[in-house]
Amino acid sequence: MGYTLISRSHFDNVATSTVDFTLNSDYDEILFVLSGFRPSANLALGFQFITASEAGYDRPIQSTAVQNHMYCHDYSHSDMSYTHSYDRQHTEAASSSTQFALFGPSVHTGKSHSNASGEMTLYKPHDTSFYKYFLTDSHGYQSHIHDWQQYNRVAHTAGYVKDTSALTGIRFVSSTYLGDQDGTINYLALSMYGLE
Amino acid sequence: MATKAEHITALKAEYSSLTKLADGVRSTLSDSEYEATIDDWATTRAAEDVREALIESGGESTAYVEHRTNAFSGYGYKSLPDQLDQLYHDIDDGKFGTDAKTGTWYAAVKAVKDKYTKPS
Repeated sequence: MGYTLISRSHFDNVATSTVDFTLNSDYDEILFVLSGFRPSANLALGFQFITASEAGYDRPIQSTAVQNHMYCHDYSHSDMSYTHSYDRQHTEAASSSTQFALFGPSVHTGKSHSNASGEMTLYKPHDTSFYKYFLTDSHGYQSHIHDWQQYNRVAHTAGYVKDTSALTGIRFVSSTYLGDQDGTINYLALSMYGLE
Repeated sequence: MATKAEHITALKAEYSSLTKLADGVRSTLSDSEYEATIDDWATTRAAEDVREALIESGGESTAYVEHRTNAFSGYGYKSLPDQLDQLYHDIDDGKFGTDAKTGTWYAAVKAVKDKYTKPS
């Protein structure tokens, strides 16, 4: 048996502050497929979790991100880089955090064709004995000042939610690289699949 | 650079109301949710203004490594190929002395440049 489509959020040109999905105990493996994302400003798609005992999406998250990019207008601007501020650290967040982890690269809205897509896996969000692990693989297509300065940006985030309580929901927002919510999601196609 | 209060005013002018989506169902934020969201965004933007000013103007920062190496800011180190190109031209201009032009690295790069020439 393959993945089952649980829920889908899809909208075009509707300023949306938060996009939430309920997580239940029906599925051990959760797969989010992001087909398209555009925020109101130059921001990334961020995510956070909630449990039954919490009032907000504020779980301590430990995660690290790495990205590589290729400016395609010449051969000189490409690298794989690590940037500390993309990480979330549960030791800094203490018992709760309003910082959002990063699903993928930011989308520069100055160019109409910039976009991002990708996937995120989340293992046993309902488990009550261990922390919940997640991985993202995502891409962004953008151009810089001019259309011919196009580049492909690939980002990978790996981490865990430092909470042994069952996660009951996940929230997606437009986020800075530092994990702060800002602005709206204006275009989104995001589906949640489950595997029993 | 705008203050948090100025950002709040601008955000409220831009968004008279806000909506959210939960399990595919859209609804309008309550007054308290709206105020809290605008406050969050304004806090973020005021902090970003300070951060961006530091990136542009420079100065002491615990994030100095990130500011130096950020490939996207336009204010940090150039890419490695660009840095090597700068080094090549410094050697070519004699800034490292004439002996530097006899090195294998300079000779190899120059040989490629001489083989594939830039149109005038």
